[in-house]
Amino acid sequence: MLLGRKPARTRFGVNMTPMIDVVLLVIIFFLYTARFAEVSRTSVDLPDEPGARDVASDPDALLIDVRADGVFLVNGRDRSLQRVIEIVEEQADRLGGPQNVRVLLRADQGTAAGPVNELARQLTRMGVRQWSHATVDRSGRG
Amino acid sequence: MRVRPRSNRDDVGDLPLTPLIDVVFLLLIYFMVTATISPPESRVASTLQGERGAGQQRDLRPQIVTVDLVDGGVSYRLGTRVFPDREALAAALEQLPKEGGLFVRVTDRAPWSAVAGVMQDALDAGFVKRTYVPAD
Repeated sequence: MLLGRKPARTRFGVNMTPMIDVVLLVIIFFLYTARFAEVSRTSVDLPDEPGARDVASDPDALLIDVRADGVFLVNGRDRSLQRVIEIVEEQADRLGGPQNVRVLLRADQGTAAGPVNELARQLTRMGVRQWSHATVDRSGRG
Repeated sequence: MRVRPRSNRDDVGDLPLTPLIDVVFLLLIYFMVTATISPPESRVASTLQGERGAGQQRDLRPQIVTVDLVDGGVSYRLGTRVFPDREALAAALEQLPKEGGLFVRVTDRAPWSAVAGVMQDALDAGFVKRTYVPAD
């Protein structure tokens, strides 16, 4: 029995490399999958206007994109006007009525107003009142 | 004089920095490659016109701007006045009373960029209530 002597300390050399590799892979995975959520916002050439200042984001608004060729898109997928209206009706059922539906229109600045007008007429018949259109301020005026 | 020997604990905390730097550089390259520089989106709110003849009594005559495409050029009409460009229309909108709001009547031929421009001018002029009206 050894008295008065401390036991020899065993030094553990922790190899950090595999852990950092795994962390890197996890980070890349999350970053990559997070990108998928943003894809739903289709690339549309929005009108170059500053829009409203102090506008709060509205994540519950129903996004309807209109491409330059007049095709409607919801969640990044081509939709007929009839299907868009069905989606709005589903939204209205969820929110307790068409008066609670908020539509955010992302129309390409190169499109004619015809498709937008047709959508507006259908929404008016349904009883939807709240809508807004998206703009983008490329010159930083806003 | 007794000098205390240096503790070995200083050596225990040494971590290899090379993998960490590798990771940081890889993340940096990843963000630089995938980053897309896009200006933030904004929006202009308006209302859709309700059913006509809903019994609303109005003391004020509705102020209507009609956006159309005539002979390949955008036409802005406010009442009987026709404006050749947005600047003239914006100046006229500034003079209008704001209480009654503004109706923006849009023909199917009108380019959406012009419609968005009129909505922006109405917002900038101080019209709180802006109504989008698709032309028949």
